[in-house]
Amino acid sequence: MAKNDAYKKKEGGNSQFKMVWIKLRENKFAMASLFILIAVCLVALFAPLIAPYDYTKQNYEEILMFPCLKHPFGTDQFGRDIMSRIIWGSRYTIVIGVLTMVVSGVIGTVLGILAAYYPKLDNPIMRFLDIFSSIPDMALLMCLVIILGTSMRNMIIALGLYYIPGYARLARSKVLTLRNEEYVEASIALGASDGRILMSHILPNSLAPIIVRFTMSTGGCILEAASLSYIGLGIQPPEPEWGLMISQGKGFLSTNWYYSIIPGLCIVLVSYCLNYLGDGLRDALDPRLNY
Amino acid sequence: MLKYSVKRLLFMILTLFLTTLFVFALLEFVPGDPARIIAGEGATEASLAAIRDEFQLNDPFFVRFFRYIGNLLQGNLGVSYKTRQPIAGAIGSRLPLTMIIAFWGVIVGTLLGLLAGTVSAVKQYSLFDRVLTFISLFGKSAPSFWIAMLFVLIFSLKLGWLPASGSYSFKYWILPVATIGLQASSGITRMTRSSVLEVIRQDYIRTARAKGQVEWVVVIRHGLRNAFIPILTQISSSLCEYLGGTVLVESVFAIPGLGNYVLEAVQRQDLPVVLSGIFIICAMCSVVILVTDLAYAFIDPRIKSTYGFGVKKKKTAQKEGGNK
Repeated sequence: MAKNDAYKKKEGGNSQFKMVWIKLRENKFAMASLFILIAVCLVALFAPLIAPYDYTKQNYEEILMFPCLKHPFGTDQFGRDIMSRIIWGSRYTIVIGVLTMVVSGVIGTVLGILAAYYPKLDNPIMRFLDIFSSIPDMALLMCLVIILGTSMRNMIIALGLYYIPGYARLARSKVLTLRNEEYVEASIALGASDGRILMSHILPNSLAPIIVRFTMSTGGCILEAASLSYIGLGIQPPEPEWGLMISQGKGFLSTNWYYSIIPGLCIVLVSYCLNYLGDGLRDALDPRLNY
Repeated sequence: MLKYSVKRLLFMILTLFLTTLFVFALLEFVPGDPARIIAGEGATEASLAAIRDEFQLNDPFFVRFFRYIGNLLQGNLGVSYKTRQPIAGAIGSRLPLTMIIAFWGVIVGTLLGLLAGTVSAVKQYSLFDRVLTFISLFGKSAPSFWIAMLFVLIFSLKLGWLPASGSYSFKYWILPVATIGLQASSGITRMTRSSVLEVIRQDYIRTARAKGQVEWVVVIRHGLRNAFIPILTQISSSLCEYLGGTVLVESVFAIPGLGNYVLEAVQRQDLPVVLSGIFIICAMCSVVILVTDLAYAFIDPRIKSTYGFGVKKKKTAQKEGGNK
């Protein structure tokens, strides 16, 4: 990517990453989202220290208590503290979201780059992925879950498979335009190997849209994971997953609204932040998309 | 036009065939013996053999696959493992509900999205734009089942205006349609906003304004119409998504639709139902995509000319240019 010389001089010779960071810092929404996301990650990391109660501990003297000082988010039908369960549940959300995206992002990007750079591989890879993506999301996910069975690892595999075609298509379209760039031609002329061209010219230059997609899809992935848990095909009951908590609270909606609404609010918060951060990153990484 | 339509139709059938093959092959990997799933745990070896004969489970993969395709062509979607009832009848009675909810949801979402997206593009960076962005991101960030529960909480439990679950009349469909409408509108709003923004800076918009055209005619006839192709793509993809993905909304409102039927089948490992359910969902999506592709040509004359209908002279000119 051509560096903007004027910008570079003003900031005193900054690297690409620093420039992106400077632009991102101007976006208040994106920065606020980044801080909230970091906070959520810290909460997940230090869950045993932060959570006021044991998330599995049942207390039949305090069942279905409304939010109060002792239990800020109330308790469920077994007297378990919902706040502690949400704090522990953030681990599931973050691990599932990030792992799924790393798996599908890496595989999808590699497939996309290969498809675009080696025309012989283009049709076999992309047509296969087309079939994959012609099945609507919930139908494909249900089909994969029935094969793999319900567990956290299998849910990550199923979601990962579902997100691969999107990354592959994105990487492919970006690489197809990069392949004809002059600096790629120049390194071909210099006799660089395919591996070197791919690793040091094509990959770094195609990363921007992939990073944006990574951020935004993590939000989508968290929703899909919660949906799977909600219909009983994801994380299984004793565990404190947010989507599962919404599902368990469904029966108590008329009497204890907070039971399913609060975990939902947590999902909305995390997903909102990821979307705003993704928007900010897109503006910072790809100036052509600025209006 | 006809040639292109036929080509697209054949391509659609090929894709659908391959998708069916793919799902059929995937379901081969479901752990456990199908005969045991049908008969239950305590079945004897003899009864298992009888069931294998009855459902012709001993045949090789491709024999079973082509038998399935042959049955499909005759409108036979197979027989459920659990109820031993024909699947076509069950799907036929459930499909209309899913379609009503998905179609109306997407129609509501499209109207909301076009309005909100156009307004926020025209008034870019205003307070209105920011509020609309916030609302449309809400639709994207909130799980549909949670929005549905929020609606139930507010409109049926607190206010008592609408029924919370079931599906008997128009009144029961308002909340599911509203849920899908809100979610669908978020994507359509964002797409409309960005694609109108791209168009609104064009010279022909300035020309239209300069000749004294009324602002809303400029925005709708010159702006929105030229920005419509990506918006149409978004509408069609959300329609596909909801035709196959109403399962979440259906399960909140206890609507006996296609999604719930497939979900029950997944939970009971009723493979023929899963297979046929996914086939129907994919078939509906293929039709939606086909119609969208054909609609592009009607909306945008530039696309129409590239497919070689109408403007014949241009095509020959292009060919000559290509030969040089």
